[in-house]
Amino acid sequence: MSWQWIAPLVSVAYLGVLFALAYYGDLRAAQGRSLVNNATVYTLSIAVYCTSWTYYGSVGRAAVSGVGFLPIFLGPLLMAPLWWFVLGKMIAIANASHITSIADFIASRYGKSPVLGGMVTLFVIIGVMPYIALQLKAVAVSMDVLVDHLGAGLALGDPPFLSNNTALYVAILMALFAILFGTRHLDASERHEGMVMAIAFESLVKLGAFLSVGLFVTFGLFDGFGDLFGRAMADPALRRLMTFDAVPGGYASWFSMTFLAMMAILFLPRQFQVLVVENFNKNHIRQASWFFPLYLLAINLFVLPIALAGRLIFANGAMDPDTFVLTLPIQAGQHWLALLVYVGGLSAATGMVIVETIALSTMVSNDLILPLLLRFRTVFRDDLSGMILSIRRGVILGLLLLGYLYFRLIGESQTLVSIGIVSFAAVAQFAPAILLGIYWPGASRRGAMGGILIGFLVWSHTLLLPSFAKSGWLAGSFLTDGPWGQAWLKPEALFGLTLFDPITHSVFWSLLANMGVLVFISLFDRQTTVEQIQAMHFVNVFDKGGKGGNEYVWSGFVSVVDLKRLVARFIGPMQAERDFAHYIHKRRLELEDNAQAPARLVAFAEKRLTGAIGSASARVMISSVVIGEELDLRGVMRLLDETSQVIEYSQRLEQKSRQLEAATRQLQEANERLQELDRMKDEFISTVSHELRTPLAAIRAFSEILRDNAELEASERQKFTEIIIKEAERLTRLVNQTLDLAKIESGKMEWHISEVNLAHIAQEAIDATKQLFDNKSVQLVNKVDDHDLMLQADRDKMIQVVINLLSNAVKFCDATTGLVEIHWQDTEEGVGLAVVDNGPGIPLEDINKVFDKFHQVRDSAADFLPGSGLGLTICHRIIERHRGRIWVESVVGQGSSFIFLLPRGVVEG
Amino acid sequence: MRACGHNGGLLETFGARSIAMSPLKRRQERLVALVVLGGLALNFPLLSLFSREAFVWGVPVLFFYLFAFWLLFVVLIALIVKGKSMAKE
Repeated sequence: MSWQWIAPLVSVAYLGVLFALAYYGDLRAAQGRSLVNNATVYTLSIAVYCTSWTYYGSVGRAAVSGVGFLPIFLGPLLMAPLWWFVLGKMIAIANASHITSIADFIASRYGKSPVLGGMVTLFVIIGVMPYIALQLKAVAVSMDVLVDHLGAGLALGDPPFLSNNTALYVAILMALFAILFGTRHLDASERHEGMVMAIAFESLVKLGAFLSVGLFVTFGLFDGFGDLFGRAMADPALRRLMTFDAVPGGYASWFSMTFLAMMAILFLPRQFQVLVVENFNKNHIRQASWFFPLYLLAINLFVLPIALAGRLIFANGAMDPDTFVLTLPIQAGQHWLALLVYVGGLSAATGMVIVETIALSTMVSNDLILPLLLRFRTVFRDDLSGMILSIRRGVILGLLLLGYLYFRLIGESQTLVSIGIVSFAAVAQFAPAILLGIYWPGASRRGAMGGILIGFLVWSHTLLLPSFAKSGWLAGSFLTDGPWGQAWLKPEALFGLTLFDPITHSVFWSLLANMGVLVFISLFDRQTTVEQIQAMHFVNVFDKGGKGGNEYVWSGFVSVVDLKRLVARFIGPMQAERDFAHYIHKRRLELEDNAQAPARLVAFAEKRLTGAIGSASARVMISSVVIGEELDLRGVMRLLDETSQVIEYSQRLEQKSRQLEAATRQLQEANERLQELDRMKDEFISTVSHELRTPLAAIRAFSEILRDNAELEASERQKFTEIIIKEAERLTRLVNQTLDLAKIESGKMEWHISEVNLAHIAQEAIDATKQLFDNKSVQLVNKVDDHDLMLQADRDKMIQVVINLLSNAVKFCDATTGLVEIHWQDTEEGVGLAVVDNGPGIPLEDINKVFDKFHQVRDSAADFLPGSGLGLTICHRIIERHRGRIWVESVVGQGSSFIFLLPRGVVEG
Repeated sequence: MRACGHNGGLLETFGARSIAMSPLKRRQERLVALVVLGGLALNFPLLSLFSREAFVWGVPVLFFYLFAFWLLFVVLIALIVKGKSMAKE
């Protein structure tokens, strides 16, 4: 079979394998058993950095400049340690805001500005297009080399025939792959697991192929490194390559290229895609940050040997050094090895093109086409998700055709490396806006816009236009004399700076202008509310609560159903329904379709849309359905101010009202107490006057009888006089008791504390009240006997207490059946006595009042009961004064027990 | 210095502070230092010291230095990011 057919067939078959692998990856992702959740796969996918430029171009560059090819890989090496926190922060930001491209990242950071997003997208296309063209060129060249040389044997000096059609077919095939795995559905995170699997596989293939050819050349064609380097050193033409002298531009160029590569590894659209967007787990960075540099080391290990071998073997310089990787095995007759090398190169090119076009298509559709569409047609009725996918597919195809066109027009005249480095310098223009943006909240939208714009203008002037001039597109005088003959504008010697090589020169001027403008404008700019919120959101992404940034922005009204309908237009009704249901369910919200959407839901919808159409467009769309104005910062601050003031006031008010309530309650209690006291006083007075009047009336009545009836018999007179005396005694007792009580309550009572025995006191009280019991025929049983109950107390007062209790008991007992017992008490609390009767008992509601002044149980018999109603009150006061306790236990119908306990200790005073 | 109130002793204070400074912060500092080291080692003037037409084990000095430093750098990154004192984030 002819090589004419084998190479294209192998290419198609290889792409078929990629399809199958990507399909399997997507299948596993759909099943939730992701293959991509793996740090090694993540690392290998980052190796999409190594394109056909690395694969063929590094050798080409090494063949003429020695170590000059290395900065492209030393840059990522130096950047890798910073991944841990710089990349980690970018991933956290992208995840929090559903950012899916580098243009969206910048636009989102600077107030979700559609203009900035569009600008970045446009510049990315201009900057990266040559890079895509480069890959097409590499594949086409390698296939032609393979076909021509293998078909006809290696004919030295035979210039490789560039088949235009080959590149075209390759472009279309790659577009197909990118479309199939990059735009199958709209997803919030825009992650493509199948694609990542395919890319990781390609990274293995290209590494394996390159190592194979390296080993073959070093140990097959030569006798190891020593032999190869020794022979190269012997060659005067190659000796220079061993030192730094061969590096064009010297150390300055070395430094600027390293710097460009440092930026490129983060900010090339495809690197952003695999590093940030396709990142499955932030912890994968940990392995990637050392494993990826190791991968780079491996794939570069044989670049210098192959280059030197090529120079030694094709000593006449007939072979393009960019093709050494292929032509060396062909020269040695290793056709199958050459085929493997070709497949490796195909891997490098396809990987880059696929990821780059997918990343660009998201960018172009979200940040360029959709904002324009939405600007002119704000009302959509249909489901737009299909349209968005079509746009993206169209964009991918368009990009590859554009790349092909570029390749046809300009690519043929330049070496691989010089094209690639132009792209690197282009994406480096985004570095200030992104890196300052995620660490400096003060960077403003106008600053970023000005910086990127000026950076790009300088880049175009100093790198892009000169490359056109060198290709013959522009007059050569543009380079030699400067535009319009202005020497100070000479593209490669701006303002007469001739110190550097063109790349360093361009990097210096463009980044100086870029950063200078960004910082300067930002310092004198006033940010809008959205800008400030987004800036804080980005800079403080790791702070808890920082994620709520979006929620303060929308203050208008929108119903849930309107919001859902809007989102459905872009991601499809079923998906929207699922997302909303999930969101609402997860937060346990209860939302009717017509209810006002809470700010959080609006923010969620905006993020969801951001995933599908980019932050700027999402903002425009949300603002089209939210009725009401976006708050400006002063509005927000005022609102916050007012709210906090209101909160403060209401807190103070609450406190006051609590105090007031407490005061009211106290007042009420005091009032009740006063009323009670007042009532008691009235009762007291009426009772006292009643109690006083009764004996007084009797005394007066019998005195009058004695005065008016002089003829009364002596016995009668004697009887009446006794009544008068008894009533007078009663009066005296009443007055004494009232005075006693008043004395006790006012604290003027004199106390004579001494050692007393309660048993003696009980006996004395029994003796004193014996007459009372006898009169009423109530039985009194002394169960204290001579039990020893010693304590410190006022003897007379204690006797009074017991007498009062006994006379109270006898008062309530029935004549003849009445029984009163007196018991001793000895508990932990103290010692005391209990007076138990079998009277009618005290109803529960009165049990707490029996010790009140003049309280007499309102009983049918009450009026007939003798006594002042002060006896128990006096008892209570006396016991209280002794730090004791007196209480009553009673069962209605069975009798009452009056019990007191006194502490054993000494009562002072 | 807040820890001072709790722990009293100066030593304990410093101990508490280095813990409070979070291992992530320490790692970040080490990584930045590593980048500075790499930037210096891979540029003028240190690089010029190795630009000689001589061999180390059959390999030109410049090539040998660059690739050896590369490997060392990778090992250092790996040691720092995988350090066992670092709590898993």
